[in-house]
Amino acid sequence: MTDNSPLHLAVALDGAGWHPAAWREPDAAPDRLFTAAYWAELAAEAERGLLDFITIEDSFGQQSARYDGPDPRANQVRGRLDAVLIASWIAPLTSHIGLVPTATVTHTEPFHVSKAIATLDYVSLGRAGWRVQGSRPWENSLFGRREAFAFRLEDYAAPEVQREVVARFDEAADFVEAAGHRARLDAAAGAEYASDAFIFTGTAAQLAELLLDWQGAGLSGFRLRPASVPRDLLHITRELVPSLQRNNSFRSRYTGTTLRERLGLTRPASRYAAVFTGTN
Amino acid sequence: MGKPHKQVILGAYVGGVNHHTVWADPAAGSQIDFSTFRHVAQTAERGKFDFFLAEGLILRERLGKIFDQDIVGRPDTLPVLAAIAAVTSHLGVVGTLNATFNEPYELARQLASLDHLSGGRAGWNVVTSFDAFTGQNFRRGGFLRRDDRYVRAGEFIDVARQLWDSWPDGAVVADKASGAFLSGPAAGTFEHHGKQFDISGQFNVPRSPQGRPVILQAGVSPQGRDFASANADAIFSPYHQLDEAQAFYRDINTRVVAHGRPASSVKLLPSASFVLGDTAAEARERHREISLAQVSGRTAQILFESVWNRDLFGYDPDGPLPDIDPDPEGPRVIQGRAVLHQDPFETVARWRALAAAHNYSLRETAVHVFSRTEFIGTPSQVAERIDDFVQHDGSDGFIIGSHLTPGGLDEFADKVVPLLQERGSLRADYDGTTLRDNLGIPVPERTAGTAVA
Repeated sequence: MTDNSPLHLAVALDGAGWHPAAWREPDAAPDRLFTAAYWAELAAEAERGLLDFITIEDSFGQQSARYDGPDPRANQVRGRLDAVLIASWIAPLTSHIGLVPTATVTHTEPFHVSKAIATLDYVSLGRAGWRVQGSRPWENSLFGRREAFAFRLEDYAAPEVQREVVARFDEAADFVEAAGHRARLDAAAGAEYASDAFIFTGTAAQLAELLLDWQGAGLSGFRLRPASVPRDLLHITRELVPSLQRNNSFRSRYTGTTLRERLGLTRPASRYAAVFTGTN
Repeated sequence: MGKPHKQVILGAYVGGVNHHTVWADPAAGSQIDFSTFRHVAQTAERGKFDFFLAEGLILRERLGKIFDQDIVGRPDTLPVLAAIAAVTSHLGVVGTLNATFNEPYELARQLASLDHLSGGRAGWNVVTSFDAFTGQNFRRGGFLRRDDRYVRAGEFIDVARQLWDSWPDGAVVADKASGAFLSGPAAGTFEHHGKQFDISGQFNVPRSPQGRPVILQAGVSPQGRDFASANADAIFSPYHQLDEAQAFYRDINTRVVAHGRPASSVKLLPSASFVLGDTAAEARERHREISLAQVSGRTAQILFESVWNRDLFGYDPDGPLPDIDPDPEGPRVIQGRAVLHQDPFETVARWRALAAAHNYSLRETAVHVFSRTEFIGTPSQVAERIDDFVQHDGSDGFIIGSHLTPGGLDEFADKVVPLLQERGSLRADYDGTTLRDNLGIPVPERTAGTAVA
């Protein structure tokens, strides 16, 4: 990794934020989570901060604090809209930011998912991505499937593909949460926040320093999971980004038009290219 | 007191994957870019249309190769509708979506999401497939018997309604002070145990602005008519002649009432295309030119192949109709196109008589039997015919498409729409916000006992 590699920053959007009590924050808008305008405003803010892309969480079943089944909770955000459609709705209202919705692959038809993501690429003029996820085993009943099957990478890919997948996911494994107001959130939730990602608590300038340290250690970029929205999203776009820009460590304007260009990825050849040129 | 003056319902569609669209016209734009769909939808909204209809499932084939005589490829229905909803504010967004190759939980969730995102403008045109050719695109293949497609579709719609009803109104309280996000933890709980689907769990989309998205259906056979009368809010009518359209209209309304629904609660909508001119003669001449562009010699051969089920490329388009008989039992020459002609021998005999009577060539015969432009004339003639057809209960409106994508609808919005408005048959401006408001269809009662708090 050379010093002049661009730093990539993405923000992960999920309901009112990633902390279970995020929706109770003074600036949270929990009654607007199911409106289009809410998502358009968040995307516009992320684009204003020149971020690479946003991801949008999704699942077929109800949110749950447990992995093995639904939890009978009414005191956290429950319910969500289809992420691919949220991204499609945002697409014509934005012009640069990448749109990376979650689409699960356990129960969906490959035909439907591939066509939907390809169409997101059309309506966004080349800014689509796809966050691939499996479904949780207890969501089988939503589709009438009885056998619970666990996701095992070795069942799905040849060994060389596995190595590649593992390598790429390792690179992206360290997430950061900006949560300057963590104590209040934890108090509202009645428990200390636990996460599968590194939880950062501190100022935007401290976070900038940390991210650059990690970039120096070989990471390409970070997907930040704001503890509460819009507060922590604004910390990212209006404090973290300017702080990085002052170090010349982050872009000062968008260049290029597609998400691939932004990430430095080449356009893949179609696997059917030979077939196309071989027929008339 | 006379019969109340009806409002004409207008839908818009982007010409589909058939010969109707003259893609080679120099004025034609992209058939897949979002700019095309945005333009047609915004033109429709400018013309105060009720809704936009999107569709497309499989690429057609001729003798095992992708069929590229007509448009190949379509954007996916739901994402393009979500994007259209973002750049319009009143236009309904209706998707043609298949009940055979989708799962009710997933599709009900997508449609409810679209209804939320669009502020209550989502609709679903329910279609079915049974053929193994379409099934090749999916894991289950051609799993359904032809007779069972309405059985599956009926249970599919029942389940979708149950899911859409599964959140009580006001379930999302989002009370920051008390910490209650939901009024109770069981919102969305459902169970369905049927022959086609055996599913249970918690639906995770709150009840959407329209309660349930609007349902559209096409059905001509007695079984199809009955299914649509029981389930649909609007039905595509295949009839354009007033007398047979009126008979269909009466028949559907009788069935609607027999299903315990109010008379006239289901809207009937034929699709229609148009060619305008400053004079009637100019419109006829334009129509002749457009028909010839729609039905090239090669297109004429292919259109007939779908009925003959034989390779007809050896027959001169400017010569007579093929003198051989159809081969309905042979392997399909054209795949992925609805079979419209039940008895090919009878159909071919009728066409031969037509060709003999007028001395038509193969191509001229195809122009006459496959060209389906319903409204040809001056803007005032077209507005009058549309309005008369609706006021005389031939239908409740039309779904309008143009041979020219994307600019063709502009002429209709600019020239015909103002005349319909002058006649008091089309709104001057939208007076509601949802597709149900546009169509004058009330929010449905919740199925008793479905929602649990």
